[in-house]
Amino acid sequence: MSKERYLVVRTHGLMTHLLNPDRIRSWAMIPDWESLFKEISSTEYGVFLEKVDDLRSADKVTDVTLRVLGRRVRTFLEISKGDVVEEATVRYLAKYDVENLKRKIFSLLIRKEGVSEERFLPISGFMVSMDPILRASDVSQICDLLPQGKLRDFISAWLSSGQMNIPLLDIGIDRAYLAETIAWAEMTKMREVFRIYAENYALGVILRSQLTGIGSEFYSPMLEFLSQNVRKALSESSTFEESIKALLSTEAHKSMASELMEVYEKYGVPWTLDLSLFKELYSKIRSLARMKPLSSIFPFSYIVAAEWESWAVRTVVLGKLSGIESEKIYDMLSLY
Amino acid sequence: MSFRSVGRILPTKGFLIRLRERAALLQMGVEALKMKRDQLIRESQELLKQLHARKDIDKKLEEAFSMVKMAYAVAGPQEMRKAALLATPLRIEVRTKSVVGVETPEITTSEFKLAVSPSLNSAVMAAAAKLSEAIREMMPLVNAEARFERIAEALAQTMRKVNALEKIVIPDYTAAIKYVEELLEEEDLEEFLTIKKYRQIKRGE
Repeated sequence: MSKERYLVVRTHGLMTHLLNPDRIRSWAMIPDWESLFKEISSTEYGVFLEKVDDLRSADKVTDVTLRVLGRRVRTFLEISKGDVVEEATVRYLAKYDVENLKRKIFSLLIRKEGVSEERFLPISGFMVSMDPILRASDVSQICDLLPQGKLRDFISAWLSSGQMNIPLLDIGIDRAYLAETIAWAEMTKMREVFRIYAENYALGVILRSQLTGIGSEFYSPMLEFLSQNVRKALSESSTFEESIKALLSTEAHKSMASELMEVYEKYGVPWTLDLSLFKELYSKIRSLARMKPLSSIFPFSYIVAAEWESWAVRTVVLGKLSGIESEKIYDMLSLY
Repeated sequence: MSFRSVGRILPTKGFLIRLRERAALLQMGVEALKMKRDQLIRESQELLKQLHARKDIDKKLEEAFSMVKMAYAVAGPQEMRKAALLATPLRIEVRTKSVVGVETPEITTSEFKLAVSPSLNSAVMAAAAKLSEAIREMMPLVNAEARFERIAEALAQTMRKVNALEKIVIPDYTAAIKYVEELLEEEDLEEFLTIKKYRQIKRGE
């Protein structure tokens, strides 16, 4: 059996350990904490939960969901060792390193009390070892710790420019990460998945920039990661509303744009943007994996599914903790 | 006889003149205080109109807090901490403005931006946008409430002063003046009779 087939078979096995998304959604309707605890305890998450009160701590819940995701990622990386999927997983999950890196840099630049330096995943860094980076006392030290590449080049150029422009740094880090990732993916059979991922990621940065009122001169370099028709639609839009209207005309993002428009009109703010983007990414990769069940895309889709599961469990528990209505939590977790 | 507001009474013409001067000054003071009171009432009535906005602000704040709760559920505590790191805290400038001698605070927002980074979760950004909008709209109300509080305090004080002057001090002074006048009149009469008696004795009548 080839490595690829072996991985597909093993991933099928791993997939059976994932919770059914509908089951997680149904937890939103559980009225009391005891029953919810009983339900969650019977899953893999139960290993990290000792008592009902653990569910009442947002930090604990976040930690538990990330620990389970970390375990799943570790197992997957072990079985995919040496395959292109391993590298694809590492490059995909490097987004968490990018996030941690940003937090560390922001905390050093802004220097405020109560800065969170925890990792998203309780496992070592994917792109770079995070421990020395989290111990760094200034940004130039971080720069030296980064491997040679676009990210390191960008951060050192930003530092030498002397500008303290946080949005520029923020978008620049994302751009460098995406450019490196897509350059690698284009040379592999994972290009299709990574094109979807890069477009989804870039779209998020562009739309969030428009929401925060950041000028197009900052976010326009992200347009290079979009497919031709999406780029064309967005290049003429300067506000969030215009962009969503433009996305409604594209086949690729119609469902997401219509959901966002609905939320935007109802609440005046598109608070579900990240959720919608992630749902779109998960839905697209899942349908691509279904279309090519014996390709490397299927094993890769496991990571995105595991991430969705972790995200959904956290949303149900934190949603209940925040007093959000059950129906709203249920709706939030619907897939396209 | 004693008059609490006036103090020790001296039945002299000089004292009477001083009493009359003080009474006139008090009357002028009452008029000025009445003018101040009317102006303060007008100011507070103007502010009352602004205070009606409280209901809308309460609603906006409720919406913003429910959005914060949602952001917490969607993005998680770590993302909220990151947002806190990137937020520019609310900085205000407080100046004082005088309204008919009453010092009232005037608060202006000098710096306030809750979401500055495009890498923040959209739910956090939405909550930040709602919260900053509500806080910005709340600032004129904060100003109005702070001013109203000071003006109401000054108004109560002014009314107490007017009442005390009108009901106690001025009547005391008026009575004291009358009393001194009567005493002086009696003295004058006594003196007149003494002189008259003296003249009669001198003429040998």
